[in-house]
Amino acid sequence: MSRYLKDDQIRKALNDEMEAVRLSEEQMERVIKRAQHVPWWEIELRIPWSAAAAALLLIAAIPIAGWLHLDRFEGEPSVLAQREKGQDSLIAMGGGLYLESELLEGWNDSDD
Amino acid sequence: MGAEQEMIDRLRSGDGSALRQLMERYGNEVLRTAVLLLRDRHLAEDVSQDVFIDAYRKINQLKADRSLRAWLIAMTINRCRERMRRASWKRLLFRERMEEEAGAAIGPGSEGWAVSATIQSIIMALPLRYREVIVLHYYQDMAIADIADTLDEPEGTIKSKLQRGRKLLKASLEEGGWRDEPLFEGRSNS
Repeated sequence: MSRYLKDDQIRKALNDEMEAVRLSEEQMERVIKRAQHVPWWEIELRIPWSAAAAALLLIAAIPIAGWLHLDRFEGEPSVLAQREKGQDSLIAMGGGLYLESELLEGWNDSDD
Repeated sequence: MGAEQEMIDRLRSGDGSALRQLMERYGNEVLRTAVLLLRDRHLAEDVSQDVFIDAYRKINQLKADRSLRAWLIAMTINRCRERMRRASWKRLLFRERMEEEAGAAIGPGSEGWAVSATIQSIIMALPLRYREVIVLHYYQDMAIADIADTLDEPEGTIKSKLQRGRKLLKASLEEGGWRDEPLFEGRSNS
């Protein structure tokens, strides 16, 4: 049989050739199984516009609030420095270590 | 159109039996299109499965003015392009191994060898830019406007691609024993 270069003949011959290529029952089953088990990373989430805007505002507000708070801390005297101020100091004398307040005990009274 | 709309509604409601119906109706078309574009049966099967899973999960993205068939074919083409891009990266990275595999795939006794010198093998040998339009025109029987819509390209581009693709296809078919249409077919038959 002659085969001519007519579109209809080409189309028919191509369709005849492709007839053997079929999506099997097994493949369909596999698709159905996969379609019904959606892994958590493929779940589509719909976030309302207002919620997304609120979350964005919050994210932007956190660093600003932190920066403002930090600025206030820097203005006040350090807590550690305040503690050190009220602490006793150690004095080494005659091979021993003594607290300054212990050495001064009684001396302050005798002044009176 | 009514039956198609009903299927779409059932898919939207998550009806698994509608997915089966969708595959029974369009499964072979999707698979054959993928085979012609990818030149690999196994990859084409993977692509077909992905297309139907996408269709089931993303049915809400189907526009009202688009047919289900055109949407599925567009998704098939996009998936095939993605696979081919991935394959070309792999080829670039593992050149030698890929060449060995390709050589083995079309050797005597293989599936590729069995279908050699057929229209499908001639189409498969065309460059991808022509292969897509040729498959849509000859296999999917689509008009130029529909091909342009599916590939998201201007009609003029599709026309010129189709013209060049047809020229290449016909030249290869002539080599394979196909003949030009006789001028006086009625007389030659008598």
